Amino acid sequence: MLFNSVEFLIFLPTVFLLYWFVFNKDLKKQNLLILVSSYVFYGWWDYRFLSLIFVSTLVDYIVGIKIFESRSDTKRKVLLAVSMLFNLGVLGFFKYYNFFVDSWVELFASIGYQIESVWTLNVILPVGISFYTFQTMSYSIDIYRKNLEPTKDFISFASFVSFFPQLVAGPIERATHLVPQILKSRVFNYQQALVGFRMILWGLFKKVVIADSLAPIVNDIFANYQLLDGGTLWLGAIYFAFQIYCDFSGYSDIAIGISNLFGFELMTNFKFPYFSRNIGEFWRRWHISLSTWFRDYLYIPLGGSRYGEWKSFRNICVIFIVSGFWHGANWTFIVWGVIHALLYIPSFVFKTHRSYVSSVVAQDRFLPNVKELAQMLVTFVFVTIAWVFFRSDSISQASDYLSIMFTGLYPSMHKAAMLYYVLPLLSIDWLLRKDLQGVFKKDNLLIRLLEAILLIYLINKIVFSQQIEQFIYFQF
Amino acid sequence: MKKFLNRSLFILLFVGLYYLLSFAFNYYYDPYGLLGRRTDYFGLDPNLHSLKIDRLVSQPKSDYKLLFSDSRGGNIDMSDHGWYNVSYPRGFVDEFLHDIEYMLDKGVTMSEVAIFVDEHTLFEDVEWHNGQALLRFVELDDVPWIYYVAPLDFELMKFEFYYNYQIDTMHDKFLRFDVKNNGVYYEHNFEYCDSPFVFVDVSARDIKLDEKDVELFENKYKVLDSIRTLCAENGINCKFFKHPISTNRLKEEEMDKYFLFLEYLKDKKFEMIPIFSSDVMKYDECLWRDNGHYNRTVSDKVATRILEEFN
Repeated sequence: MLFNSVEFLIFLPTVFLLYWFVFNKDLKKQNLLILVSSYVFYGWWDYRFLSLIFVSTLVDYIVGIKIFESRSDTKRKVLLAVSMLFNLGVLGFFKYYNFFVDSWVELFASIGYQIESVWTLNVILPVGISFYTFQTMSYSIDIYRKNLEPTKDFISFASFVSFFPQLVAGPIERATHLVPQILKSRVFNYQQALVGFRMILWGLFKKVVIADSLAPIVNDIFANYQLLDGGTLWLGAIYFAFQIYCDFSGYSDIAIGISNLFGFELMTNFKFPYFSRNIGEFWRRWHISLSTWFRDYLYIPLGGSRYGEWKSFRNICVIFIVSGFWHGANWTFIVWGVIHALLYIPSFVFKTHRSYVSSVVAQDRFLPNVKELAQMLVTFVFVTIAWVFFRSDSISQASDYLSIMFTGLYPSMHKAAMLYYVLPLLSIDWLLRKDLQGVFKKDNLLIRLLEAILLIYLINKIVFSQQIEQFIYFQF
Repeated sequence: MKKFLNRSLFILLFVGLYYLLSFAFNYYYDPYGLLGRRTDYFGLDPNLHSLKIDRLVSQPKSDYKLLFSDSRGGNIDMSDHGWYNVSYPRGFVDEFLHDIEYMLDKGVTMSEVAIFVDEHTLFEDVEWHNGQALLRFVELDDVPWIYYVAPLDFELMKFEFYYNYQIDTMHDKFLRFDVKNNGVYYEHNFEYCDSPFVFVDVSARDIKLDEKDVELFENKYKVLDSIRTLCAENGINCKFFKHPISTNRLKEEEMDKYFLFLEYLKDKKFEMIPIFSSDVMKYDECLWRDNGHYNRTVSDKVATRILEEFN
């Protein structure tokens, strides 16, 4: 079920009313409702996906308890390996199997051996598989590291794995953060619900109005890039930067907002990434739940930056490449990861990667100074160039696209009209950048009317739209 | 919770009031969506099929010259030569047959009819089509309730009112062309431009047809043949044309089947008149509004070709 669908407009209020008015006295029933709703939500795409998530839940539930109960280190390691092999095996089979087969075939072809690709399978990629497998893996790892005690309440654990607001596109929650909230009784909080409602509206606005309006233009430009001039291709890349930002951060905002309505707090996934002053800051503001996942479960176990520069470079390259590969079974994502690694390493060498950890741009001012503006622009341009690989179907397409971007350049205003969507978004983001939740807590009659108008606008867009666009990150 | 519910209720009442007012506006003032103030329902508001046929039936003239097509033919303007363009979005051959039968039944007489066929008119999902309120044909004496549901759109809310509007007068104002130029996507090449026409020779690939495809071919052939027979029985000079197609459409899987269908018609000695030397034109941003719809420069050439055929 899509957040931006008519079904969901009916589904959400129904679950909300049952949750707070029918099952509010019994935590177990509330959790069971979350589980059933999550399975309905997920099974709406394809009921066959449910068996996979159920088995995944069962494996990690049992493994988690066994790891905790085991006193032997070897046994604990074996059990952890079982969880990792199962989760990565599922992910590898459904997401990467055909990619590896095709890559081998291409490799053999490049050295003169033509082999027929008879091993590729017609496999459906279950929606959101990368998200929930990472979530369950973190559960087992945290228990192994003794950071978490497993829950014996299967319903609660299954609710954690399949929690519908963030099931298919994150934020990738840690068990240490979400499971305790599921196990504790929830009390309705007006301020939390109010912020949640507004986060949903804001997320839908970003998705339905901005991302979906940019989508056909981006598709058109990337499909016909060979016929277009460099200026238009720059616009296409910039539009895609904003399309994917609005699409993905919109989803995260909706997920956080829905969770708030049910008394949960999810981690922040985006913090205005296009106001970053270097690549390090960008990665602390973009898809935070994934980048911190890789930091905690891959970068640090590999040694992080503790064992000299060369190993640090290696570790940086590994997490960026794996991060790219996580996004999809295509070389374009790997190149995207490599580009970000190459952009990150200089800031690591010059020790600027940890700059701006806690501050936001123009912290004490309304406008940025010239230096900040230049830093933001340069960071944005590099990120946008990398997005070309992310969006393209193949590396050769991305290379051609970039070569026209840089050689066929003249300031074309052809298709520039969509900047009318981008510039107001940037302005609103700028106003919200210091305290989004604080702004969302304000309330008066005018704000209510604006909310009502926005709600009407969104309903009209969702119900009467020519076509409903999927969220981009569902494919990952 | 009570505070939150009260707050939600206020917003819901406001939202409800808006939809109620929209419904009232549609019901009393603009039942057919002619004023173009409604939310664009699948991009097909108003129901051109029903409106155009209603116009023809309500003004029965003898010797109508009619062009039937899906939206691709929406720009073909031969009104100076006495032709009326009955193209409507997602129109397909079964509907063209129905329209001719329906109009003959209502006493409309036609002297010349041009039927345009493309891959879409062949492969439209009939069941889906008939489930769409603004696509399926309805008699306008009995406006279905769903016509009133589409709410007024904020972006289109210009408060120009057309007092005492009649379908006939509004028709010329709003329905001359049915591919709307309502977005940036189309506006750059809405009218004329001077790119050269580049034709591409494409022949049908030898793909395997399944039983359903064969059945579809037989059914569509029967429909086309019924139109031909009906025209012959009623003294109507009826000709069948193939729409030009852009190379960008060739990416669609159904195109192969469409080309095979044209071969099938050839085998059946069913004459389909090509507009240009080849059915496929190289996609050009200037000549095409999108992958499927050509602009006025092309449609004027199409109009010239039709007139040549009938003269």
